[in-house]
Amino acid sequence: MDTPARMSAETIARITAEAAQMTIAVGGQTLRPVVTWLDDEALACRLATFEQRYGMSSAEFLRRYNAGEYDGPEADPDLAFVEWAGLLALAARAGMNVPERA
Amino acid sequence: MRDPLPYIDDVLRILAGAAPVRAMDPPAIDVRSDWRCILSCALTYADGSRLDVRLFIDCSGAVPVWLEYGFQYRDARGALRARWDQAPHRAGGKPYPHVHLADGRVVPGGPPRLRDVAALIRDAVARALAGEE
Repeated sequence: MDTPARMSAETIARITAEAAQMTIAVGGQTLRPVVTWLDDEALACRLATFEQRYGMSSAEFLRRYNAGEYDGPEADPDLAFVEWAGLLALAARAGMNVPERA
Repeated sequence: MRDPLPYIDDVLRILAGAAPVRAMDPPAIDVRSDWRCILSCALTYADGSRLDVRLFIDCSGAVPVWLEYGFQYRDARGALRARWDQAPHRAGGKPYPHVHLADGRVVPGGPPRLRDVAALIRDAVARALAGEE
């Protein structure tokens, strides 16, 4: 286990302040990042959203992912499966009850 | 330990500085802990090419580490120019860093250096704008 279940108020305040200072100028625009807090509850929600969107459990997704079904631009055109696999890895590291990737 | 947001700022500046950017959505940063974040962003360059990025960043050590990553770079018509990820291949086996090339080949490689990704984009955009593609 490597992450706290919830972030401290101090961490949230510090990162919020840093994000407010962060700007990037591109194409005549000045952009600020959109910051989201990904505690265990939010992570579980994100995984549930993937399961609902693709109509399969995280366990079934991981079985297919590990079999190589979702590699490459045709199978994963918007990097959604890279993200799903990464979220599962984060959840597994935090000791949440999720399947682990190969 | 390194603060992840300044590191993300560096990542964005390198990718946005690769070539003139036509459009970019505000980058999304999911903060998991003091030292762990996920960066999601997409940039459209002057030739209409598009880079999509997912980076799972761990700054708990002296050097930031990418726990998971995906960089996908397509031309204006949607044809792949390059993709770096570590998903297992269809042939099975353990995941390892690799690159999908424009000609369809998949070769071991990576995780990429950001400056190499930026150099590839810079060259590709320059060629496209010069009408060489």
